[in-house]
Amino acid sequence: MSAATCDAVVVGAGPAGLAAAGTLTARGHSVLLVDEAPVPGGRLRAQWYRLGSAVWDGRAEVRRLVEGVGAGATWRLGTAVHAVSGTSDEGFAVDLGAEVVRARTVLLATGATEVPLAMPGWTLPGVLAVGAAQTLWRGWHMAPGRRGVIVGINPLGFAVAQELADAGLASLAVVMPPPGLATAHLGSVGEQWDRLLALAAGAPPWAKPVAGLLHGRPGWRRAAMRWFPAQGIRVAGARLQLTRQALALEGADRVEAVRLQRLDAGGEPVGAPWREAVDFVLLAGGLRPLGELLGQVGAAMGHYEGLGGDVPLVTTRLATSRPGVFAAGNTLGIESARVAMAQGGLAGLGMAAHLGDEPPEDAWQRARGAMAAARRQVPFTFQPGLMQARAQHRQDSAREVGP
Amino acid sequence: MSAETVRFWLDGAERRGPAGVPVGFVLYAQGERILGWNEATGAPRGLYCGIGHCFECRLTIDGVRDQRACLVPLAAEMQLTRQAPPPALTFQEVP
Ligand code: FES
Repeated sequence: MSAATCDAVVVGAGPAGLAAAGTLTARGHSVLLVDEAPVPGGRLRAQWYRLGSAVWDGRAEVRRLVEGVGAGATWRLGTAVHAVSGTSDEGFAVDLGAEVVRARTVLLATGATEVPLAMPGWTLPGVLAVGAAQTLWRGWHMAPGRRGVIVGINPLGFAVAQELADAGLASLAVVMPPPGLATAHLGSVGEQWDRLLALAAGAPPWAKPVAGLLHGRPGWRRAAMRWFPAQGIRVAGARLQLTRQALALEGADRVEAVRLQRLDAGGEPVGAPWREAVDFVLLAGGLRPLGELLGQVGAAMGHYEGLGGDVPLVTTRLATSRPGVFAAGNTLGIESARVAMAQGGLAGLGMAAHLGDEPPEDAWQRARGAMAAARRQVPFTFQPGLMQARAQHRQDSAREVGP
Repeated sequence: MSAETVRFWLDGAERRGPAGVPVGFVLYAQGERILGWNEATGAPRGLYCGIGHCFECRLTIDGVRDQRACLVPLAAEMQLTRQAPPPALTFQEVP
């Protein structure tokens, strides 16, 4: 195949994009895979979780997916997509800067970005988005530092804390973000507690110590805060300090200290703030679907807090409102990598059908079965209210873009 | 790490690091937290998102400005240059 035209362009070589590409190449379609990163896999590469006695090894999953893509694909790694224009009938034009590729169908699997916690001092060198620390350690075996804190309560934060603790690298304190951030829903103590509750309900092994705290009677939040130990409790190898709030990150030309404040049972500050020395800080603001290209092609979107933000409305085949443009993975809402893979498989079949190669019914059944199984196996709930948001998204999608 | 160790240059000084690892991570691990300075404020900036989204890690790499250090793999003899902080802004009275 010449790269200048192909059946399908897949934007994003993470779990969703790789699974879709594998589905398409297996059916004999030519695929061009594009990703900004120099290596395939997206965030999946850096994932490594214990699930009971089993281990979820992101790198191994990426290897398997890349093998599945096989020789039927052309790769453009380290390459950004500048624009997607045109229509399926005339052929989409995907602008890669150095070349323009034409295709009859496009998958946007651009994943998610971290929500910034824009607190005082957050631009100091040594302050990292928590995903960057995961990539540093899991991707490249480099430690983020020796003494740090995680600001914000978020599954990604706990996963990273667990990995760093397992490796004996750093013992991290997890503290609350400061009040009054622009991302207000992340900032309030109540919201952070709700997030924690949602995490505990997902029952990952590390959430067990907190789950007991949260089961409860009316006023549980206040009661739990009252007897929450000031030194914190151990969760995922980190010290979870719900009665401590980070007010500011400080340092001359790199982060050197975090200014902390104690909170009372109502989440109100008590006593004077103090400084603790750190050599790195991880900000855990949560993930938000990344959908600039969806906006560019004019796909119909909806906003769902439980899915992490703005996501496209899609058919059950994951077709957006723009004929020939499909979406899969975290760009459709923040869920696990397993769900992203299953969505990729489904979108791959949808794209094949769009190319005139309608897959047999049993292929659809397998893909839908994989999706249901992936959703049963989630290690933790990323967003409070995920289930309701998903149901609402399905309902809105059926109305706006069809079944 | 099994990657081959190669020579590269940071602001003209000789360094060594693992080939294939994005240069932003290589420099972070070597203690180089500052990768550049904000054009408007002159405040130091470094690796932040690690995934190409924030553009805070921009370096001049082999003569090309504004390359995202977290996305560019280290290669032998690479020239990495931190982009100088801007001179203090001066204001002129508009007549
Ligand atoms: S660290 Fe954010 S773009 Fe490189």
